[in-house]
Amino acid sequence: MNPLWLATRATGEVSLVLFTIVTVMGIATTKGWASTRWPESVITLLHRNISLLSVVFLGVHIGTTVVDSYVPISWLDVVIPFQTSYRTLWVGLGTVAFDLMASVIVTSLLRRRIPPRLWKGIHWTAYAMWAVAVVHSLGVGTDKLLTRIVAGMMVGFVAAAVVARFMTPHRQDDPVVSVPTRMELRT
Amino acid sequence: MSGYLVTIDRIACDGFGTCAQLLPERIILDEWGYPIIDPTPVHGTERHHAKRAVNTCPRLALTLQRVHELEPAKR
Amino acid sequence: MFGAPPAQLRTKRGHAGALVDEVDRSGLAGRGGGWFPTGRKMHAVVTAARTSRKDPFVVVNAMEGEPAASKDAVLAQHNPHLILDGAVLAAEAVGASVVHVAAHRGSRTLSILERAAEQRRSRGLDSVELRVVDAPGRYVASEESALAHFLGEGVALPMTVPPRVFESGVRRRPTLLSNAETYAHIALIARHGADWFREVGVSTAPGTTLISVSGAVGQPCVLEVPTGSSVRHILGLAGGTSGSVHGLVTGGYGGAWVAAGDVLDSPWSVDGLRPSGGVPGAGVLAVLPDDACGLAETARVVRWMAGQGAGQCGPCRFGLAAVATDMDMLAAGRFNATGLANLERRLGVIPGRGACRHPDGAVRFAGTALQVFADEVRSHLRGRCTASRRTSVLPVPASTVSLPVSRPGEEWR
Repeated sequence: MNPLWLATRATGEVSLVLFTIVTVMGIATTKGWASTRWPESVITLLHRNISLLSVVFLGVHIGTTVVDSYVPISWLDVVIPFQTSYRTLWVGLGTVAFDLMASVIVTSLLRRRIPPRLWKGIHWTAYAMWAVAVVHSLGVGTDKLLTRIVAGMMVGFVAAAVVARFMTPHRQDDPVVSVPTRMELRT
Repeated sequence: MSGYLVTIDRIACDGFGTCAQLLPERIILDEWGYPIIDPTPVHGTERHHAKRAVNTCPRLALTLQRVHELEPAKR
Repeated sequence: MFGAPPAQLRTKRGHAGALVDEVDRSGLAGRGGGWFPTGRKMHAVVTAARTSRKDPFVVVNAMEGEPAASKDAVLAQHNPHLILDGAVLAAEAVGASVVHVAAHRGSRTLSILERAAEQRRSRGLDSVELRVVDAPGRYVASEESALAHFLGEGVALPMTVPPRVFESGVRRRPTLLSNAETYAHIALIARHGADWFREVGVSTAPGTTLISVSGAVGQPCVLEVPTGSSVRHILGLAGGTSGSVHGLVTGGYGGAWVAAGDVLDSPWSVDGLRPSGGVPGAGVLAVLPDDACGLAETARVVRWMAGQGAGQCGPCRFGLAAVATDMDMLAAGRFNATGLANLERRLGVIPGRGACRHPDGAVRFAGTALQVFADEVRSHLRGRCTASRRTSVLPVPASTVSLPVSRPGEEWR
């Protein structure tokens, strides 16, 4: 077994898990799900930092894929989807997910310089990016059992978070603040 | 002496409270979770914390402004 | 009615016409409540137009959002063309080619101004375009950034300031936005000159001013008096107070209660009313008869004000709602000392933390009520109210929505 191939598969699965965590933390950030031990600032910062970690693992996943001569995938195929001869659809979906992720990350890094609506609109495609990544992993993965188990768990987490997102009241309808930061004021 | 003021866009603010968690020296929250900002400028090492607080706001409602550019500060 | 306006060419962008200097010299201050020097505002618009290279707009605020005010409506009834003359002259002086005239949807003021504008158009009177626009009826829609945003983008939500409207208003262009009465004064200054304007009134804010006097007076009316006239004199012109009186509303529902005894000899001006805590505001003077309950009246007004906010800023949206609930309980005699202390704390914490001054005004109205009606507060804390009157005095519009909505719906457009 080719070590690059092992690395590709392993980092692919890890990336998926990390992006799932990022997605759930994004929902947690916007809903204000927080506690004394996990205050809002920590959730927000974790959301951002884990997303950058995910990008690193994704980078290794992509790098090992391209460098691996066993499978003919070029650097161009990383950004332009459905051009490979090897598993055109499934690899292509990976490219689509990468493109979506890149736009989310870039707009977030440039958030202060772009119109707020643009940032928001592109950020919403993160859900699509995650879903496409899940399908990509199922289609392109050669270890069917592992990919299915992981995919099933990830879908479960995000589905639960999305349901909870719509079932819990909007943050502002019930303004409650975690204890350490609320202080009684003197007149 | 140059200082920086934490200023806020009240419409963008949604009362997340991350700012008060990261810069308690200048920001506390009212009973509804919205920030009350001390208009004293931050200097030196505090500026690093202020920058963090400003960048962590999920709505980017905060900015750091150099003091000499300002009109009378908002709370 | 006053003859042809003084001949004036529309100025090039970035150059202030002669009228701007004349208005500056006159010391005219905005009659919409801000009392900001109009000449300075006009100069600022011209400068902003020059630096941004954008042609400015002129906006006439004839919305009269204050329920206790009727001066703009009466002015429009008596002399709509004076308002429009002033607006057109101001537009020519600052280099604007379009004048928006905004009035409340469905109001008589709106139809009067529409007809007047049409009369002028059919005679080809003006070199600038006059557009009369109907705007939604919420109180906060007459706030200047909300009105500018409505005219540009169709939704009357207050915007974050800075930039102020004179720099970036309608469609982000420098905008001269002033009250209808202010433009009427501009027209008169254009005809009679700054020295004439300064002949009456106080030197810091000269001229005459319109005041809506209502409540327990012999003849509720709109009066034109020199600035600096004493409150006693103004009340006298309105037929004097009927019966004994303790509390007066000055400025509007975003203004301040004052004790009659403190203010009778005060001049009607920003400086003159300040020692007693009063404000001239939008020219409102409402007299509460002694048999009415000042706290109950205040509670009704504050509840209405809480619902009239845009809902964009937490301290206003939640703060005013909490203050309104507190005032309701106080007025109903179901409040204790702790509750009162809590209310006062809230009143201290809300002002200055919204995008506009709406919460500041409501808080001032509530806070001054607690001071002026301190005796009543004490009896209410003991569960008693000394008022015998069963009907309310201060007009509060019926609204179908009592709490601020979080998303702008039909009533914002």
